Amino acid sequence: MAAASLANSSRPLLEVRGLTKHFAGLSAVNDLSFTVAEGEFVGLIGPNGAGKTTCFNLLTGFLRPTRGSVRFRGVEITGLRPHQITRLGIARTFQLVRPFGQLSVLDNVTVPAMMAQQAGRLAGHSPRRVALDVLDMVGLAHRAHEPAANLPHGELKRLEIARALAARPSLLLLDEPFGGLSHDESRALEQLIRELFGQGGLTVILVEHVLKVLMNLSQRVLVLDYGRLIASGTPDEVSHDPTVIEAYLGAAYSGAGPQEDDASPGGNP
Amino acid sequence: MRISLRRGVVLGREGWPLWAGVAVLVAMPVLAPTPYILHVFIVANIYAVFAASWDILSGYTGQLSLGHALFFGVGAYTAGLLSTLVGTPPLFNLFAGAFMAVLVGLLEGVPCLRLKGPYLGIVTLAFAEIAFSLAFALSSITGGEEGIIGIASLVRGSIYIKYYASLIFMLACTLALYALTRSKLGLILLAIKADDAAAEAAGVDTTRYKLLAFLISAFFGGLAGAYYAHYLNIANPETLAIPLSAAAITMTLVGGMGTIIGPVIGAYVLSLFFDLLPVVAGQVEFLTESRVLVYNVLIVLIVLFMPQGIVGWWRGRQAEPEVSSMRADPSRPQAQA
Repeated sequence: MAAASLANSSRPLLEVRGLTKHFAGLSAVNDLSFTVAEGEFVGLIGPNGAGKTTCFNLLTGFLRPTRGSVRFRGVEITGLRPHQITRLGIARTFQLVRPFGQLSVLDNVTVPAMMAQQAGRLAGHSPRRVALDVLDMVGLAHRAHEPAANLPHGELKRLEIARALAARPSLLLLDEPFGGLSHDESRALEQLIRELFGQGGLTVILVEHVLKVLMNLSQRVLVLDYGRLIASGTPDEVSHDPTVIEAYLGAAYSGAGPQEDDASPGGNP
Repeated sequence: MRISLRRGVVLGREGWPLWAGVAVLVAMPVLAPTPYILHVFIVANIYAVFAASWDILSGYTGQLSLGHALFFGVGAYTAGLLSTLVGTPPLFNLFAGAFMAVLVGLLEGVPCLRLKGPYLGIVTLAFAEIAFSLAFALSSITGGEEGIIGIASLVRGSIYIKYYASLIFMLACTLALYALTRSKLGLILLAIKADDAAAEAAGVDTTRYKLLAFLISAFFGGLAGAYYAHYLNIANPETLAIPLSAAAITMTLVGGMGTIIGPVIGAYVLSLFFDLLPVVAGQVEFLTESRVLVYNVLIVLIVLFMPQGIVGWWRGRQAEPEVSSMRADPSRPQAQA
């Protein structure tokens, strides 16, 4: 028993090995390897097109990798379908919100809670109860009975998070949750994510273009460029890493990506 | 309690017109005691179940079926063959027809699971056309163009008894479908319709539930077809043909998609309009002669002016005074603040 729990705690929650995805000759993700420990808050950054969303799609089963493996709690999940991965405890949000428009906000959140119950992840609570609690947590309880389609963008972003939380994940993948939010909304959401993470039991990977927020929240940052991992470290280390600065400024200024860098797998014409 | 919390009060949402409608249907033999009118209503009852079976798949789950007559026809032919060749009792044949339709639904549904929208629609249409061709190709069994004749009646006796039997059949089937849509399953189907990728991400096995919707839809479609065969005592290629598939869609669009009650109302409105227009407007020659024209103009008008169908239009009218007090009350203070 003690040995088993020791083995569990020493093993990372998520292990990604040699993950590769080719789209018609273009490699969106290239030989990507990293691990995430239980209870960690990891930020994933990179210039546009670096492969962040593709990486999320590979982790959650929405895309099949060309090569490589993903292990979650030591179990191979490569090739599983998205709902199976969600049931194992990995939930995601979508960068572009995808509400069930004609359903009420409460129903939107009840669906994943019902599925979590089927998967044995609700610990005896009713899906309805869990859904209401989650709405309360993200500050959407007052909208519970409105059709999701009526919500403004900022609240739809919260609904995405609520739906992911209602699946009772141990690993939460947030794909640009701050996209399109006002300054005040961003600050409130940052606070919310901090609180959710602070409650414990949750491991988070955050993809975000608003770097300041990401650096504030993350304990460790992974940097992708052209589908490759080019840096990994604390927010402070990463933001002073010459390779990272090169990737960002090079991409931003030349518009054609790093030219003298040898690591340019997307370089096939 | 949990269910009524979800989407308004069960059945009560449509309010008094629904109950008034049921009352009129129950009193119909008194209101219109002519065999022809009752006959039109019996066929409308059968079509209502058929259209509602289309609605659960296409209106509710968003899986477009353009060849729904396949299930109706398979139900009709199965019942017809059993009745004429084996001589099994009609009530048994109803369920045998529904069961065969489910098997065919499985045959069609499995390869269709990855298809969406118009692609799914085309393949379902092709499946129905294959069955339609088979009805001619296997004429030694199916009776070719004539079809199978001499099928036993489900209910013997007067047209009144037949009418009430069909009414009970319609109410039982549509209530079952309606209850289904109000259950957890209904919520899952709606989520799939709204966004199947998001439903997957929420942990829904969308493939399994789409197939389930297919099979439920096939079951009720087959049931309606078998009932039809045992009422008209015939199963012919028309039960597999495109016009019948189109009728299910038209009735549902007119009545209101994704409502289950809508297709029932649509079935009545269109059947009555089409079949009773000559009776009512017997004196007006133009209306009698061009009833197909008038019928189609009516459809265009309804779709143009009630894009959500009759039920959607009614709910929209009710929304201001009633629904807002029911569902939006808690949010009202915040909305104004």
